Order: sequence, then structure tokens, then C-alpha cells
Amino acid sequence: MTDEPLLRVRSISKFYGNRIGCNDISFDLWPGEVLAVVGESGSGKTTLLNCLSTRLLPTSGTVSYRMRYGAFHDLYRMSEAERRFLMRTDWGFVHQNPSDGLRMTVSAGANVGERLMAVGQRHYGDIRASATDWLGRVEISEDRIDDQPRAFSGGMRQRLQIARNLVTGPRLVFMDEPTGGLDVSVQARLLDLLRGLVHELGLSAIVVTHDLAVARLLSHRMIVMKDGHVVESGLTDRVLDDPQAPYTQLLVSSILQV
Amino acid sequence: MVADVSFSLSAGECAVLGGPSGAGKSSILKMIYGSYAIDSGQVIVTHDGNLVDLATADPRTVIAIRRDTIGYVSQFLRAVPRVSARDVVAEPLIARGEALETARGRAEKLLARLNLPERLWDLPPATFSGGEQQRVNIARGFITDHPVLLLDEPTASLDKANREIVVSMIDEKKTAGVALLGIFHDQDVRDVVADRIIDVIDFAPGRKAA
Amino acid sequence: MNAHTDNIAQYNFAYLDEQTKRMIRRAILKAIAIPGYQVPFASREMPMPYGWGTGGVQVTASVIGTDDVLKVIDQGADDTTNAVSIRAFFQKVANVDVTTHTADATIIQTRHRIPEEPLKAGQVLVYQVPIPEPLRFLEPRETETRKMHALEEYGLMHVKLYEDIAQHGHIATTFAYPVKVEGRYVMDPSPTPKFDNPKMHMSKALQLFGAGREKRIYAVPPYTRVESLDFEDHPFEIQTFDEPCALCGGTNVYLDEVVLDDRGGRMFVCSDTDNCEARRASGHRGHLSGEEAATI
Repeated sequence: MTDEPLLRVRSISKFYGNRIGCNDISFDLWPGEVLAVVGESGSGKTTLLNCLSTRLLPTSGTVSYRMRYGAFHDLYRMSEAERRFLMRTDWGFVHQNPSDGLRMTVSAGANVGERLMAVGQRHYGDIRASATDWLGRVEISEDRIDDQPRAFSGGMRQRLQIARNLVTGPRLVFMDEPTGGLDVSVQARLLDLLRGLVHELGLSAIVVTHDLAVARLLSHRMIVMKDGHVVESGLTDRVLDDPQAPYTQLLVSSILQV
Repeated sequence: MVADVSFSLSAGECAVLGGPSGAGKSSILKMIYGSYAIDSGQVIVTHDGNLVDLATADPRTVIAIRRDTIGYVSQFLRAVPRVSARDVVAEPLIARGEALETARGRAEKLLARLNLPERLWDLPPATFSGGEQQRVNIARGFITDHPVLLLDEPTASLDKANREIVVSMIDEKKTAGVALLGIFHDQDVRDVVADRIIDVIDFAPGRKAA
Repeated sequence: MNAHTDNIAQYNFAYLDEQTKRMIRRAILKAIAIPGYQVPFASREMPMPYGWGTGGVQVTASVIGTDDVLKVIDQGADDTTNAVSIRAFFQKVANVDVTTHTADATIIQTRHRIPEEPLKAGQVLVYQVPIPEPLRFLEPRETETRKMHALEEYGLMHVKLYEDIAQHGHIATTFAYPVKVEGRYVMDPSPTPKFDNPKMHMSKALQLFGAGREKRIYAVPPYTRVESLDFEDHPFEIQTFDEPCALCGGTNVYLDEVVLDDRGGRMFVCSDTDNCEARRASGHRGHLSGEEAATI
């Protein structure tokens, strides 16, 4: 185990004029750790995710990332070229809506292969072999490799998006409601798949979700947000089994029991 | 829930928490495991050669302690969709870096010992009976050689034959120097495994003040 | 009165006013300085519709001088409508000499082809470009494509080639085949067939590209590396033809298919009419050239 975190977040705030997006948020994310950010819509969890993943410039605070060669770099002091390179190699971003993260008019194989081509792979056979392998790992059959995601179901699209993100072996993956908008049975399959991949690849992940069951299944640690503030954080089963903040107690008690 | 809980647990010893339902036995186990918060006090455990206070440890340390030091057999299995019984059992070993095949092999041995029919090994335990789930849970808890093992009613829904197997497994753990802390509703089992009983009534809130 | 009317009816040399030509020349100079980079310019309305070569005409108008000799081709031909009218246009507004002979021209404006006869130092080849952005089909946002060029993020270009191989078993793109210029910018050679891509590489002539509707100018200076994108296991290759030109018997030239009747009869002839005529003039014959046709 390394004794340095992968991501260091210090006092991140984002204001939209006078309105608070998220306020004064700090934490460390460690290698292999999955952090869930939960809260209802409007709680600032997506704003936080975007601030961490360089998609939205925070008003104040720093986010530093430990590069593969060991040094910490402040994301917002990097050049745009470095940030974008990070985004398509060492990071992944899984959107709630797969069409935001996929190229809907190119084949599944090309969707997966794009990141490989972006880092300079120029052997068609190798690229296709990697794409085939990754489609298999996300349980998409090989004979769909030349189909466009337009012809895929919602669950398949989401799995394809995951494959597209993981093909370069990223160390950190951001996920925004990865199971939102999917049927319950499809959700279960996706969650199991994600859980397996995260474990197998030793990924670190930050998962934004309003679904506490998703947080329970995927994450080691949780942050509960309300009105842009962190109201509670800690080990996932501690937060869910013994919530301390009144708001978390309310959230936990609003889950329907099956 | 409980106040001023104080006791210590030695290697090779099995202590049993006693007291009526609702006295806070499970809460104590969960505080030690880290899934319940501790308002005040300390839980000191020897982890990785150091003394660590679980009450104030950060989540990452708690996760490491769970992986390497404190095992837990809960009363109910929290089933994960689509993961086979064999892999549910093997998981703690894999998490510690054991090879997949070795871990699965040991999982199968344990499941066989606990008389879980082989045809169930490939199935996710979600649809198993209470007794079957409990045996999966026990196998999962016992597969590693954690120096501390917490047992929350592990024999509650088992028949006599399987209870006896669990008792012998607990004895083996004791012999191996594992410190066990358990809750056993079943008087027979408790009498056989317990080296001492810690009465939780002593920790009822307000008792000291009274 | 009469003299006065004549005066105002006259065009400025080469149609465009001097300030416009200076603006376009600045864009051209910048384009030459950054080979393959698309330089925005204030494209003017021209007396012809978009799609007829307004970009190429503006570039030609800005570089042409009184002693230049102009050749204009559409496909490879000097005698098609577009070529004839652009040639006539410059005869009228610049009073320059025109030619159909590649070797005699100092400026060649083209829509699709690069002449078969190798170009010489000092010649300028002006391309009429409809869509200058090679990334456009996969990335519709201009802000994003500019960023991709700036940061050399060209993975997407290979996505297009990947799709070709996945669907057809080989790279099926036959025209507007993307190239990398001097190891830096990816450029669209525009509607030229990929057959002509190798002619751009280390060409002795200056190559200028004008896109009127899209308001972009780019350039490949003489002796510049122009490499067609490909995969290691699917290298770039040009089209080959099964038969020689039916008129001049030429091989290793780009051929057009000409339908002869409604019973499937067809022939393949040189796309470059000047080259074909020159070969026939020097005695080369194909199987459908006049003499043989007479014997049938």
C-alpha cells in the first residue's frame, strides 16, 4: 500500500454568484478507494464532481493529483493539454447518460478503441483485439463490435461507456449517477460489473449517486452533502448503519425496504 | 445504547457477550468493527504491530484493520447480486492478495465442511435459505486468519450437526491464537465455546450513575 | 462622359480590391509559415455561388500577376464548365495568359486533381476546398476541433479509418484522405482522390488551399512532408486500375469511367486531359483511340 493519497482535495468551493454550489470541501482519496458522494438533487454533489474532474473551475481551493511518476500536480495549474491528456489516459468519466460519453455514430469497437488511438496506438489488429477483450469484460458479445451504440439498450450503452473509459487502464474514475435511468435488474448487473472491475483493477473512484444502495454496494467511504455542504462523512457502513447527522438519518430512513 | 463499556480480549480466548435482547450486545460488536460510531472512549487493537484506536481511526485505517486484523461474521448475509457463494466466501482472501484459484479452493473446502450442497456453490446466495446463507457467512468469516474474530449469532439458524461443526471451527481458531468475541443466543453453544461471559447489563446507560 | 463611364466600369486588377488582396496575402503568408494550419480570413462575396470555387478564386486573385500563366482544371479536365468559366473570369479581370498545358502554367487552380505531370519549382497549385476541417465529420464543434488541432489530439482521425476497416475490411476512404503535414497538423487535402496524396509529399510547387464558404486558407510550402494517415497493419495505398487509359494507353495515372451506351459498355480514360492529349500527340495509343476505333 502506498502511503500517499491519489487525490488531495483542499477547501474546494464553487459559487454561482451568491448561490453556493459547494462549499469548503476537503478530503483525500486513496489508491483503490471508492468514495460515494450522496445527497438529493441540488445538494451540490455534481458540482463537486465537476470541480474535481477539471470540468468546472472551482471558485477557490486546490485539487492535486498524484501523477504516475509520483509527483503531485495541482490540476488547475496544469496546462490544458496536460489536463486533457490526464482525462483520456489516467482518468475516466462515466456520465449518467451514455450518449454524453459515447460517440453514438461510430461503432462500439471504435468507441472503445478511440482512447488507444488517442495515445498513439496505430495497429488496427491490436486495437481491435483490445476492444474485443473489453467488450467481453463488460459482457457485450463480440458480434456487436461493429454496431453503433444507437442500436444498444440503455444498459449496454452504459457498459460500453465503462469499457471505453477503462481501456487505457486509468487509475481514477469519476462516475455521475452511473446507474441512473436504468431498470432495477439492469442496475444490479451494472453494479456487480462495476464492483468487480473496480476491485480487479484496483481503481480509485468517486461516485456521485442519490441511491444509497449504490453507495452501499460500491463504496468504501461516503460523503453526505446538503445545500453545498458536507453534513457527514465516514466509512460507508458506518454512515448508513449509524448515521450521526439528522439529515443523514432522514435520508437513510427514507429508503424503501424490499 | 451502552455506556462505559470496558473489557479486554486476549489471543486464544473466546469471550461471549451476555445479556437480554436490546441490551446492546450487537452494538458493541459493531462499534468494535467500526460500523457504529463511538461517542467517547477507545477501542485499542493491535494492528500491523501497532496499537490503533478504532474510535478515532480514519476510514482507511478501519478498512485495513478489517482486511487484516478484525473479521466479522454477521447475523445476516448482505447478498451482492450475481456473485456466487464460492466467490462470496473467497473474497476476503482475494482482498488480501491470495490467488483466485487458491482462494476458491479454500472456499470450497469450508463450504463442504459446513455441508453446503455443492450445487449451490455457483449460485448467488440471495435466494438461499436462512441456514444456507448463514453457513456461507460463517465460511466467509472463517476463511482468513484474522487475529480477532467477531461473531454475531453465527449459529442462530443452524441445525445441531452444523452447530457442532461451527463449535469445532471456533475451537480451532482458539487453538490458533485467535481472539474471539461473540454473541450466542444458543445456551448449549455458548456453554461450550465461552471462556468467559461479559455481561452487557453492566454497561446499561445510567447504571453507574444510579 | 464616355471615358468617365469606361473608367468606373473597369474592374480592379484580378477583381478584388487591393486591401482585400493584402488581407488574403497576409493569411496566405501565415498559412505558409504554419504548414497545414487553417488560417481564418475574411472571405468575400464573389460573382459565383459557393461551391464553385470562391475560395480558390480569391487565393488565385491575390497571388496572380500580369505575367502569370493560368491553368484551371475541374476534375482533371480543362474543358469543363467550372474550369472554363474561372479561366474566362481571370482573362477578363486580370488579362492574363491562360493555358491548358501543365508545364506552361505558373498558377494552376484545381478542384479535384493534381496534374499527372510532376510540378516544378515556382509553380503554384491553388485548391478549391469545400470543407477544410478534417475532424468535422466526427466532431461538429468548431471550438473543440480548434482545441484538438492546438493540442495535437488526433486520435479521432484514426477512428474514422478504423471504422472503414471494420466495415469494409480495408481503408475505404478514397478522396479527402487525411494527411499529416510536416509531422504536425492534420489536414484535409479536400476532394482530391487519395491517388494524388503522394504527389503532395515534398512537392516542388507551392500548394495553397482556399475555402470560401468556410473562410479558411491553408498551405503546404514546397518540399514539405505530407504523410497519409494509416495503420501499421493497414498501410496507406493508392487506387490501382486494371486497364490502361483507353485513349492514350497510359498506366499509373488516374482514370475516369465513361459510360458508352445503355448496354453496360464503358471505357476508362485519363482524368488529366492535358496529360492524355500530350501523350497521344507524342504517339501513344490506347485500344479505343481513333485509329483502332476506325478498324472495328
